[in-house]
Amino acid sequence: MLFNSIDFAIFLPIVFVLYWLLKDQLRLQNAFLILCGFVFYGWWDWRFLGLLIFTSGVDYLVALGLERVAKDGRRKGLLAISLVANLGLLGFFKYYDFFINSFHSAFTVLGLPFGLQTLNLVLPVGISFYTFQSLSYTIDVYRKQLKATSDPVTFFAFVSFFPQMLAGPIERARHMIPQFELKRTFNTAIARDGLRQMLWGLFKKIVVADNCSQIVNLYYTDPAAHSGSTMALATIMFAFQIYCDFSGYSDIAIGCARLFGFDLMRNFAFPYFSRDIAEFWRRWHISLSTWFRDYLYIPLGGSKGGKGMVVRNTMIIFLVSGFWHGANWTFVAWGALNALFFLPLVIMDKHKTMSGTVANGRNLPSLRELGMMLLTFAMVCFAWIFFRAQNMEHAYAVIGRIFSYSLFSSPEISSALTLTISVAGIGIMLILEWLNRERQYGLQMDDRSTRPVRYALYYGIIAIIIVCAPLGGGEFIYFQF
Amino acid sequence: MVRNFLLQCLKLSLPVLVVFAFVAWVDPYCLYHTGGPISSELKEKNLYHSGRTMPFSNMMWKLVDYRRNPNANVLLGDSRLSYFDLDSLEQLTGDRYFNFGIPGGNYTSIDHLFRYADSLAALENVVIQVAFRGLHVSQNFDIYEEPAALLERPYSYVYNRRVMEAAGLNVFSSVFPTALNYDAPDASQWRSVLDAERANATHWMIDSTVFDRLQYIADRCKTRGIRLVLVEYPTHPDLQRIMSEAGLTQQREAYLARLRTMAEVIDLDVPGMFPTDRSFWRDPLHLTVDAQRALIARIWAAPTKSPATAIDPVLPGLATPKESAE
Repeated sequence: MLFNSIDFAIFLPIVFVLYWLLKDQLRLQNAFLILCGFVFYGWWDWRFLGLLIFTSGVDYLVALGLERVAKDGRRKGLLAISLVANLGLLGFFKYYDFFINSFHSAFTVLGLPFGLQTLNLVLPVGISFYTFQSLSYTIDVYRKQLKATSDPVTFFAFVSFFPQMLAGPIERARHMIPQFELKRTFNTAIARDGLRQMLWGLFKKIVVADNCSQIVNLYYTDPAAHSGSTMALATIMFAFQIYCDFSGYSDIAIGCARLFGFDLMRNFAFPYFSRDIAEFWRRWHISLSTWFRDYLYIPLGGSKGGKGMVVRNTMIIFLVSGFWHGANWTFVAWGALNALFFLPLVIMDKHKTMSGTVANGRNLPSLRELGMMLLTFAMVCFAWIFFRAQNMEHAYAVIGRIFSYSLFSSPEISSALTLTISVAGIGIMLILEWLNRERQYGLQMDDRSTRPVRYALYYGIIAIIIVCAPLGGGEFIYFQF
Repeated sequence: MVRNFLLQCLKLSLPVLVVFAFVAWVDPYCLYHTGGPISSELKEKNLYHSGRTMPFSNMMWKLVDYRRNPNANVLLGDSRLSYFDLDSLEQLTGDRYFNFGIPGGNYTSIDHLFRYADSLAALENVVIQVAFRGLHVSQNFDIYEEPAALLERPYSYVYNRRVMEAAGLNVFSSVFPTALNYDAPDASQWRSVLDAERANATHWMIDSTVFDRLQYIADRCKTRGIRLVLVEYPTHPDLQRIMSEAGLTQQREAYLARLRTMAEVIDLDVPGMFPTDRSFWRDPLHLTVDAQRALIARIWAAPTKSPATAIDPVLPGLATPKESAE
């Protein structure tokens, strides 16, 4: 079920009412959330519910085992079961065909026979997200940072919590499970703020991301056929498409969770206002970055072993992060490129220089800050070329076109209306996010705003969404990961 | 507290729900077929309000209409069939045709509409108004997708921006019937059509999907025993000259030869066959209604009930041209 569908518009109020009718029965309320999660997930394809139940079941039992076993060797064995079950399934569904194709190519080059065939597997939606979330639980229990829950209802409610099960934020068990164990009370102010955040997420998704995607898809299909200026425009549009698509999803997820009395972690903190690439990565897909920090970077030694170790671990994190996004060399190249942008800052110990809000206490950034933001944005856009391209040849073609004389020609405009809507949407989004850059999301407002102002803003945004919704908008990009 | 919150949400969403209910009530394309305040005649007239809204409106209306009244005989084509006189055709042939002539129509829409009609009725006669100029790659766009999506998900009809606009137009035209112009060609239209066609002709790039689409239709008709006729509609000599000067005569011949391998072809776009007198034409592509009527007699010449292939180099029987229906 998509957040931007009529199905969800019907599903959400029904679930909301029934959920709060059960407010005095915590276990029943959690069981109801499991049912909702299964319906939400099964709406896409009920057959893959089995995978979710299987990996969650393994993790639940492993965690109970970890709680009872004291011997280090046996604890490691139990953790290994969880890792193999989760990463094995993820690897099989997501990477099997990729590796078969890659080996096939390599063997062909060497003139050797290769017998294995691809299986054309369908990637279960959300598998990268819920496996990482579930893994965080067993690892935390293994590290004794969290006590295993004996209540399967609590655990399954955590894994199948519908607002964030498909595309995050990738939550930590130690943040969420206590929330499932405690009685929730309804708070009107929080719920109202949650609805507002959902509205903001829908605006970003439908008005900005879906319109930008029309332009991007048109030109990225055959980059060699378009001018450099056109491909540069398409790449910038993609930068906003992916940001508004994914952060829009996160806003809806976080807002939706707040309606049910849950607090999800922040996933985006206005990343395009970053002054260097290190700051960008502290503000972009925060739940994944911190997951890799907690469960990969630190176990690898983190920054304890000197510069060499830091460089190696940073490189590993970025490559794995790229590969996590998809079974394609383009994602690996994207990760490597970001690592190359990031490492000089690490080596010069400048990766934590830019902290806090840009232009704090001022309305506008200084020229230097503006220059730094634009430079960071340009670097990010360059890396996005690999993220968006269908394959490496296409990525090279885009770069070849952009760095040609045709960059100075007028860009092709297939639909002036779509471009106008996209640019206007980006403008509105950037202005509101800039004004609210010290808050959690672009439309956040306190109760000092008068009701007519708030209602005018809500109706204005709803009207823009209806008028500017393109046909064919729909799935969120991160569903494919 | 939850109840108060729900009431607040309901109050907030009430205006939006009222708008949706209004759209459903007006029902500009008779999708829900619930009556409503606007007559079907006015709704149909509003399909031709402006060039911007015409493709969607006509497509939507005709998809709904055909689903309600499937017909074994269909005409497929573009805006040149818009004002086609189906009554004259019925008088001549004894068969009632359904007119799928859509402003902005192209080979993509013809393909979709053929499949749509084929899925709803046992077709007997299919007449496709083809166009050499439609081979150009710039003509490959899809005006079928959005209306078809609305048919598939009827609930999305009430919040579709085009449907909302049409609902507003219907009410406005009902309240202020004289305030609107309907598809009135402006003075510059003749020139702008020629300019656009000249630009395409001088940068001629063929859409490679066209022949596959037509071949599919031809094969399907052959398998199902459906009579298929392809009619190359006339264009004004000004436009014929542009095509000829761009060196496209041979390509046009090859195109017609390819069509003839698929079905019976009637080529009406032959120099000298139609008068240069602009009073017969709305613009270089579109004949007037009366001129079209004469064309009907030529294509579906009685008494054989089969389309004629020999065309006189004039439009006999055509008196003073009028644009009464427009």
